Amino acid sequence: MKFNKIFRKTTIITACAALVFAGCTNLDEDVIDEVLGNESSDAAAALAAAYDRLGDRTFTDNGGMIAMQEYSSDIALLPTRGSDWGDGGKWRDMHEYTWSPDNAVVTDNWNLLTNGITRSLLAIRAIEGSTHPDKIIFLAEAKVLLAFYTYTTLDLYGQAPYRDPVSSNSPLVILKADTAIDDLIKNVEAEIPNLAALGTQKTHNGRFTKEGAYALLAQMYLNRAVYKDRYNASSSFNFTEPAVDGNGTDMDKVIYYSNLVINSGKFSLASNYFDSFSIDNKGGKELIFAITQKIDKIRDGDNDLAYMSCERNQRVSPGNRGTNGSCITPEFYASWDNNHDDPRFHRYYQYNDGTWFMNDATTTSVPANDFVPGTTSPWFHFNRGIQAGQQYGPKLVTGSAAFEMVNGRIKVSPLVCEKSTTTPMDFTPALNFSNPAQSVFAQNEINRGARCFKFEFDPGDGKNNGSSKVDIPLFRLGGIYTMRAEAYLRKGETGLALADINMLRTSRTREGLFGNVAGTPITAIDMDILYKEIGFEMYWEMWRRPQMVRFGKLDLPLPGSAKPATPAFRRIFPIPQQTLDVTKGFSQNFGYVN
Amino acid sequence: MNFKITNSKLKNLCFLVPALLSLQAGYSRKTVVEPPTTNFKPENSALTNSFFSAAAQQQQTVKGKVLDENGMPLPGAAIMEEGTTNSVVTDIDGNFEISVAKGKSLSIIYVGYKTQTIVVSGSNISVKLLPDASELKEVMVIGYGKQAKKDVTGAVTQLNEEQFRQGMNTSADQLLQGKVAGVRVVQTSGEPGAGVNVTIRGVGSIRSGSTPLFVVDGVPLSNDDVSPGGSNVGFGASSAKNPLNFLNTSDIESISVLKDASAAAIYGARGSNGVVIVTTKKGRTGKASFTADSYLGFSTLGHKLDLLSSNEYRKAIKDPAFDHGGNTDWQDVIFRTAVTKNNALSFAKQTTTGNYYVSLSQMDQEGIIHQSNFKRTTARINAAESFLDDERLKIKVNLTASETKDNGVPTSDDGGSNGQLIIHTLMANPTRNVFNADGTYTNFNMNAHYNPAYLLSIYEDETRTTRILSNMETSFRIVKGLEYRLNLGIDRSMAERNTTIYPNLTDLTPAGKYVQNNLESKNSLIEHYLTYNFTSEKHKLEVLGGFSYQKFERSGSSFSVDNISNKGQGVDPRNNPGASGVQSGVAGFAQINELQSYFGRANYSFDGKYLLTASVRADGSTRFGINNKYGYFPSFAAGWNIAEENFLKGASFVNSLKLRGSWGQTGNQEVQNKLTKASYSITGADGYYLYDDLNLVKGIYQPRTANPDLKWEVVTQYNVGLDFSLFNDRLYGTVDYFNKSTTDAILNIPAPVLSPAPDVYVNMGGKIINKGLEFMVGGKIIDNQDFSWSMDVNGATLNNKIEDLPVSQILSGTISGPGQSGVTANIYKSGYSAGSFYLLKNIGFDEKGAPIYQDKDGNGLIDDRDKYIIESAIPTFSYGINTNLRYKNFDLALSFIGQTGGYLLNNTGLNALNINNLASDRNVTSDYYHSGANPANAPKISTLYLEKSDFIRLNTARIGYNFKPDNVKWLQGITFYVTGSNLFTITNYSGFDPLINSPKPNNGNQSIGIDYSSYPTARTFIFGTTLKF
Repeated sequence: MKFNKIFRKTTIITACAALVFAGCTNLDEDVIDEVLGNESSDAAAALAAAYDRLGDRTFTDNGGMIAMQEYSSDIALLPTRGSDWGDGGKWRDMHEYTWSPDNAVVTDNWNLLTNGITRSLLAIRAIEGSTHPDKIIFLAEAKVLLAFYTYTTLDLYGQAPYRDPVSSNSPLVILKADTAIDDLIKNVEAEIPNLAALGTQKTHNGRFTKEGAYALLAQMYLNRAVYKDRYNASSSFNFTEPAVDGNGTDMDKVIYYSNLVINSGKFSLASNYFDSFSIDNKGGKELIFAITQKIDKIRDGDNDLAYMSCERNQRVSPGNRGTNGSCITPEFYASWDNNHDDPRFHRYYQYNDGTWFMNDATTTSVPANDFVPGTTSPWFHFNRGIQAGQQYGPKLVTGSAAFEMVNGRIKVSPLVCEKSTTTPMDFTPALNFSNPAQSVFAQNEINRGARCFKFEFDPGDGKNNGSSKVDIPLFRLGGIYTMRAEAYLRKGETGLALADINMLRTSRTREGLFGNVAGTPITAIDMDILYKEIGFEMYWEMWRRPQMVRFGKLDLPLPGSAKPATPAFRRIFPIPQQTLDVTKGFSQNFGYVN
Repeated sequence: MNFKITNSKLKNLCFLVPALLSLQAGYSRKTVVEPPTTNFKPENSALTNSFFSAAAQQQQTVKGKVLDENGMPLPGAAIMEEGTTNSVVTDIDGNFEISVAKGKSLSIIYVGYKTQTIVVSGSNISVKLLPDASELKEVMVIGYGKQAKKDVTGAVTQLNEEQFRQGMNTSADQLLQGKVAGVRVVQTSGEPGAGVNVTIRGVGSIRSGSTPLFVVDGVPLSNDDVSPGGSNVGFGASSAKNPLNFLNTSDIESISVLKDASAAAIYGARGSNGVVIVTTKKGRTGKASFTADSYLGFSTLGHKLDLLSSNEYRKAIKDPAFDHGGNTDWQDVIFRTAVTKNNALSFAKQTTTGNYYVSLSQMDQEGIIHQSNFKRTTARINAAESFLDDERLKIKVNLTASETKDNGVPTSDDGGSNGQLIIHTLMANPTRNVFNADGTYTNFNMNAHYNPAYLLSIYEDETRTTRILSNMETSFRIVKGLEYRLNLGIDRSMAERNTTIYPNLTDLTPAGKYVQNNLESKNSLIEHYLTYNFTSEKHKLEVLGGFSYQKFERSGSSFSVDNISNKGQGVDPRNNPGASGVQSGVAGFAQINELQSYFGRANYSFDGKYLLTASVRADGSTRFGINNKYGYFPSFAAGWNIAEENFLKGASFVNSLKLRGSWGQTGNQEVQNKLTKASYSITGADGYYLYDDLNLVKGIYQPRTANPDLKWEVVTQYNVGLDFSLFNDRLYGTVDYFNKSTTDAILNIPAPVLSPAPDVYVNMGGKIINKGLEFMVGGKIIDNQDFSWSMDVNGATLNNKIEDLPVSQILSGTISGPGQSGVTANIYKSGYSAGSFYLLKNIGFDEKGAPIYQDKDGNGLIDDRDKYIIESAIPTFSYGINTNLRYKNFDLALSFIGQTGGYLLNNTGLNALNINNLASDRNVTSDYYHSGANPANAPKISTLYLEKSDFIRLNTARIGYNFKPDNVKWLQGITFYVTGSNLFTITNYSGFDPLINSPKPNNGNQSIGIDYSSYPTARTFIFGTTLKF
């Protein structure tokens, strides 16, 4: 038999050995549950991802720009409230100016903003390589988005990363605020011809258009002097330096670009100031560039700007609640003294049967005929604006998920704090920290601090508190007026400045309870008045910290709060330690020790 | 036929081997003819000269019977007349007949038993042999084979069944607790079937992934979970159960722990955390045996926390509103005396050519929290048979199938600020009632204030896992000494987890939610290798070389349904998920990874004195980047049997004395799949409403960037050891010193700026060094027929240090609780031990009761810069003490375990028992209440919650009574036993249990030494009977 020969000992040994040492696989990883790749040629998807970063936490989340620009300012803070909001001190740091290079808020926002830069660069690369019919405006938008992320990064951190998007392995370039600001301005100016005018080419105010770019340029020019001389000991920044193109000064450019927006005829000031921050603010007439938010269960909008300041027992529906976090400072509250009739300070809500929710003992019930959309949950509307004093609202029936009712109407009762049921929900404007240097409340003090209900609380599906359809304004006509007013005043054109401020004051009207009366003008203006007026218009909109720097207020203590006098190096945040660890080229900002 | 091997379709060829073998099997009888070998060789052949003195007078026929220690007949025992070649072998019933003169001596010899010599006096002899426990003769299971203990050069510890941890064990890893120096077995939770952390020789990784490789009957298991984790339906997501739960622990014959690189390097890229080899039972010599073991167990809460009683609470509170008029001990409400029923039966036999072992078992274990339950049913068949001439071909099959059913309770580790069941139980105000007057549950109806009994009533979580592990080992002797072995294995599991929270009155998912998670995994193995043995008078050589291919397939899916119908109304969502509610999410994954390896080993011994071992494994893994597909893991070891040297030959008190030294490298490849591949997808979540129709345009999402350089972690380990056995094996022990250094540790660190992905896995440049001294000393203090007493003590020191970390620090150990988001307790930093604590130092309370922290930098501010690094999350010394007493039919076994030098961060205390609770309608511990803290203090992590984890525990105690009724012939014996587990613990630790390690990783980096009491440990008594016939 032939097999006889095949199966000689040596053959067996050889065959076995050969089999033993023969491989089965080339070890290429077989990835079957996702599509892999490095590059995108999908221009729209690349641009969408770059826009996504704005609304994906950066400008919408409690830990995002509101924490960086507002909780670190003289308008707001997020104190520790009993057992809540300690969180390793990361919120207190923002208010007490004790942040270090490993503060989580500082680190997270650096990562968010630089990711915005990364996504913009990837979008530029993808769009340039594409044949998309909207290639020209897409590319312009991606470049302006890049400038916007970079500008914001430089504003907060003084440095920003950049890499030539055309080549994938071009070297990392580290931009410094003082020099990069001019390039950013030039880059944005260069793209204006390529951008769509708002409303053309299927654009909307959720995208960068010519008008959005004008607003951004006004803002960049307004802050250019600070970028160039951040640590100026007396905060005497040179605002009237010649502009980048040598044509007029920075302030002239602010006025020029503000005019382009104001005179475009596309925007007008809303008579109900709070309309710009309401659930139905899509396409709002003040909104130049806003983050479009929807509740679509895919990339739901974020409700934090409304949710954070609302107490846990303040319920817009039986299934919703607030979270008793941030509040406004006593200093900011006091700045409204003698101005409580300003339509921007507060607005009562009127129910559809005419009932006004007075948020006091005089309103004992409201009608129960308004429901959270798509549900049978009654929808309770709180008043808007700044809330102080004892709060009223619906209560849950004990042991049930239903509002207490009276005669078929939602019963309105005085409220207590949810986590300290013996503490009345009295939002005292004064904070009175037991240790004046620490923004820490004991459990029985968690009511303190006036609250900001500027943004409308979206009840979502009546069960979650996290999502919202409110578009988040990044550039709003009101803000353009404040910038132009500031530019006029810095140029000494007091009358024009006063006119812009009074435009803001008198275009807004109060609610029907007060006969829809317009706001009252002021008669004089100076830098301090202007600073206050900017606060009235722009509070809670993540513009405050740069305003404080421009007006020389940032280093000053806030005696009623816990912010101490701070050195100039705190005008910007440190580069996060984890970035220094893994990226060569960055050096820590002046004054910060690693 | 053409067997020429080509490059194409090599994979197919691998599977041709069985076919080839079967062809060969039918053929070999003719081609290879070997002379029959003798089954019996006298051990002592120095008696050849007695040939001449053999006297043939007065011969008579002597009949006899040889029995084992249990009185069972021993077939195949040799009876040999001393000084002659006159010998016989016992038959199947242990009987023999020999012709021998009166007054002559007969030696009765049986492998594994002590040789007995008797002087012939009558014509009927009955001999009972006692097992030979001699250390020297012990055979150790090592990687890809077995070795006589005296030839072992690596640091290997083997436990046999009688040495296992006693009591109620649900998984194989628990059997090791307190038994092996340097092996730390820590529960992650007291829940039945919960995960167990096994660490051998310290923490060698920063990422999660310090679990040793488990090999069951030659099949390396994947360390991945086989059942899905629980979804967060309002109490946080919960961990998957222990993947080793599928093995019936009473099927296990021995467990070998390979600790040093010399022993583990044969497992290459999976050996760096040590290797645990589990060997299941087979039929033993003798008559067929039948064993039935049955026990009933009762478990209670091991240590109840001392909280304020309702009366104490009334005195403590300042606000009368917090007195709700009731009187409830919430721990008594939630915890119960749990009953466990366990039944296992098996039968087995060894025949002349093969053996089999068959078993069935069922364990039904209640957890000490109402509703929690673990139920397991297993079956096993192990069979072996030999074929062809002189057992040339041997085939062995191991097959086990099991189903486990876990009923969980909401006790996850990441309950967040809402907490979970245990936290709510501890915090619940003792002046509240469980029920309202109308019999409904009180629901405290405030956020983070829930009636824990109500929480239990609205939650259901059931996991069913089916797992089948099977392998077939074939060995074929090609020529004498040269064998070809083939091992084919498959490990398949399927699991479904159903988690439901019914519509409820809390604000945790008030509309209810149902989630189903499915997980499937398949691990297939093909291994073939050649072994060659050569023995001459002075030289002994064993060489092994082979190939292994293993493929791991894992897939899973999940979906959820919101707004389900109320509990008890309509159809249970488990039975028809579509019956009510709104579908709210579907997800899935499917992944494959492969390992392809070549390995070889040579063991050489000269004259039984000088031992050398060298091994190498080349491991290729799909998990690593194209630039680093194969890793090479060499090891070398040498041993010196000093007792064999002439200068000690005369020293009769030395039975064995061996000095060992080894060096080697092993790897760790336990990282996620796909890390080296860039990921790119287009998702709605990263999209935007680009056009004026405001429809969502999907955006690009890039969670990973390519890393073609990623490779395994390397552990380089030195080991020096000494084994000794003295005074007739009455005193024995082992001492080992090891130095284990991890390089190229895989870290998940933030990506450099402008990377599309936020973080990246890299091999770091630094080192993690573990070193320590391990010892085991045992003694047979008394050893005679009626009374024996033995004791052994094992212990290990551990010194862990991180050097040259490429980032300034890595924070881990996520703290749970209100106001604790983003708060961590562990730090990995150069110059400090892995997982050191990083905390503010509490130095007391001021006059207002506010905590005072050490102002480290003296700037008057307390901030992050005032944090101290406190080392020793890992205890520096762990030990076990085991003692066995036997008096006639009684036996008593005690096992103590303990540790010193470590700390635990009591997160339970921080979260649940902060004094702040007194200001918010909740309860607090008595100790904390009396500490002087102000009830208004916000919970803040500091050394106030850091406690020493030192303890000594009577881990298990067993009393047994064995008897054999003389009048019941068929019965071999009955044992009645009582075993207690976790009987008492001496500790200052204030939490439930100082031996706990809650999994609190941060970004995939493991936590160490955090106690977030997911489920407290039980104290258990079991009452059992073992019947053998």
